[in-house]
Amino acid sequence: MDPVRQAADGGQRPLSRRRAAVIAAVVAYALVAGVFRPFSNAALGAVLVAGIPLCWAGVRRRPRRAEPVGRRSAAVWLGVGVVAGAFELAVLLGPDDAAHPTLSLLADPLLDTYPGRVLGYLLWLGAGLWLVSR
Amino acid sequence: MTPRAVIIACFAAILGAAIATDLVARRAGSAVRPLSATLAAALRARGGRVLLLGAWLWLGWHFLAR
Repeated sequence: MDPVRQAADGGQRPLSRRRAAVIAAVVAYALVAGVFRPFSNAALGAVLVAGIPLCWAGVRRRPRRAEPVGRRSAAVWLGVGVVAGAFELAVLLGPDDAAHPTLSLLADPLLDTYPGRVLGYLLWLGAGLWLVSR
Repeated sequence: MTPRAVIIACFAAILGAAIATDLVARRAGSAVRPLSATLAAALRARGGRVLLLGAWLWLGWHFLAR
């Protein structure tokens, strides 16, 4: 059996070479980008060098077929997003101190470490690739 | 309870509500679809793609670079 092909989805769907290459590239990117500390031009460059091309490709790409979900689903998930955004905004506009932390401030202890940043880049780029591939 | 603890509890509650909603949405016969299906439907329109990818790029900048 091809060493690149491995069982996924209960052994029914093999991992293609292309998918393996994408996963390897994402991991390599995260390992390199994680070196750069937040608030640096290098970190900004690392985000933009992956983010701009993915956004460009995602906007230009013809989307896959997806089932319509109905207004109730849209309303429920939009509601969750609005509540989360409004709460974050309310905290942001409140006192600017450690006693009133925003979500990004709470994430700082994790993102101050190299493994935390690698994990952050993996999650972020993984989410972006998922969005672009829909 | 300190303001910090209240804020953290609220963030946790919002995350918990989102996870619970997604779990309920995955049950057969649910009127609400899971988050992934809802996002995929939103991505069918170019406006939805621009909005979601813009939000994704902003999140990357905000958490990892800012």
